[in-house]
Amino acid sequence: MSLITELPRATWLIFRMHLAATAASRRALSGLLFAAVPPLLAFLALTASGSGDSGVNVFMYLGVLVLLQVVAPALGVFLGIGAIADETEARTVTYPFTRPIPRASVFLGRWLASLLVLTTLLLASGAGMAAITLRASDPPSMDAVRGLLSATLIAGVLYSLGAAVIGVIFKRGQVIALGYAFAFEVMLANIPGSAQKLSLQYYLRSLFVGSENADWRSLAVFQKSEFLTTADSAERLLATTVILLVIGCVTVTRKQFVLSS
Amino acid sequence: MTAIIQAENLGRWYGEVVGLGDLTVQIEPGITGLVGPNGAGKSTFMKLMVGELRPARGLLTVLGEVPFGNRELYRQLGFCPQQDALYEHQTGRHFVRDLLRLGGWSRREADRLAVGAMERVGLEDAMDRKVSGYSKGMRQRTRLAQAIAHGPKLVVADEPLTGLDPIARRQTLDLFRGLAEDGCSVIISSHVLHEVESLTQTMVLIHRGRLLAQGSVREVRRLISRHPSRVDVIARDPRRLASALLPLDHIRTIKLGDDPKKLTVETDDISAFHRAFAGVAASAEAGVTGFKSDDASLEAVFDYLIG
Repeated sequence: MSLITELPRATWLIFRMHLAATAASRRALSGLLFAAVPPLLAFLALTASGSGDSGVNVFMYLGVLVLLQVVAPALGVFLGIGAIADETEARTVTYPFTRPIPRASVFLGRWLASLLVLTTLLLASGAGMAAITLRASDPPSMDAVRGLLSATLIAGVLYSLGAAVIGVIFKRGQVIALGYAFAFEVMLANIPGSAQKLSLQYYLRSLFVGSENADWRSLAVFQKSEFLTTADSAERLLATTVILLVIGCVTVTRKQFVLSS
Repeated sequence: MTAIIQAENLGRWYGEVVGLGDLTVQIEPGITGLVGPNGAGKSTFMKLMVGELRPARGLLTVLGEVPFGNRELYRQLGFCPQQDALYEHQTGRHFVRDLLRLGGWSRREADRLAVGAMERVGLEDAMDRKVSGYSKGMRQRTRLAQAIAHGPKLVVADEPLTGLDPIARRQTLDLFRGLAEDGCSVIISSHVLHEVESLTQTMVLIHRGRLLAQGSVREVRRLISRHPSRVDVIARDPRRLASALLPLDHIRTIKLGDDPKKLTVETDDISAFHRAFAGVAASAEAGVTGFKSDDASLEAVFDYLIG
């Protein structure tokens, strides 16, 4: 069977093999707690302020500063890093690697299983937060909700894929991935100027701020920044995804995984 | 006969640690025992055979193919790793079945083969239980089941008898014999010589990453029989005991060490020593309180063989 036909077949089988275990993993259960934070904060913010805070403000601030900038990267790293790292740590990687399948399918199948769990958590988190703020006075528009949720899901794809690649390359990748997401990214994304363009957050924010929705522009955090159009940022994020996929697949195909006996 | 394994100046190291030094060996079809003490390089050699690792130097072919990432070779190869690792969320049957499916088998056919393999390793009653609840021996047999389920031409098993109770050990040895009768070649590693001896007459001895000897068990035994056995004895009066033991024909040396109650005896015939010792010790009234023969380990034999 050729690589072209074998890769999707084996990826699907690996995905099926690991989906249930990934969903029931400690990583996913911790993620569930983390995903509950934005809706909880939205509820607390609206309850504490009485009628002082409008739904749109709570949704936008929590959406950008908590859901997109903290929860999506954190869950992406926690779930994505395990794609190959969990297999090598558990020393089970020998089994799929001594089967007649492309090695890349192990990376892809396990990452996709993580991604499905991740997107479910992020979607639940974002939707929960939206549901709470939509009931408040001056609720966010559905365009704003859709824009933020789409950007959050794309953030999940990128951060989990980046973490999965780091997990393939480095033995203790979680520290590196978290360092990238919470030190490098947060710093760059929030400093005014062109340095923002070195962060994923800039392109993710461009997806919805760059559109015609004026609500986002009203946020102080975005007022000093120039953003790309939605199409341009989507193009760059897609290119980044493809590059990360290629790096992950090639590395896992060529790398020797030394397991302790 | 075409060799199933051909290694030429094969070397693999982990940083500065040598896993395999410079190994040149050919292994013919049939059952072959890969024997050596712990740390000899057996597992590294096997990981190279199944393409888990790439050689740092030299050449290796398995069934005529370079193994690393070779999907065609993996159709003909079964590997039972040493590490006690399984997908804990699965049952034994599903573990074997899902790995078979990766080899291209349909779900139904994979399930049929998985059941057959689990029966063959004696786990038919436990195959629908989660592997996380298996005993060490059952886990070992599950690893073996996944290695043989697809009917490979070559099975590479790293310490497959470790952790098995005597009955399971006998069943496993019978299984290997059965595989060989079916035309499958088997390479098993062990650091216990007699385990391999009961299975095959063909042996490859490696030590410190190098080939030490290759041939029949008889030849290896002959090398070992030249090796004097060493026994440590703890006694109240070791000098008196040494005087009583010295006249025995098979005693080569007796050493009194730093410990005032210990003497070390080297004998050319350990069986004769065992027969004579009790009588000599009793008549000498030396107050023997301890007796340890640490030469039974393969490590000692290897150390002797390499000088």
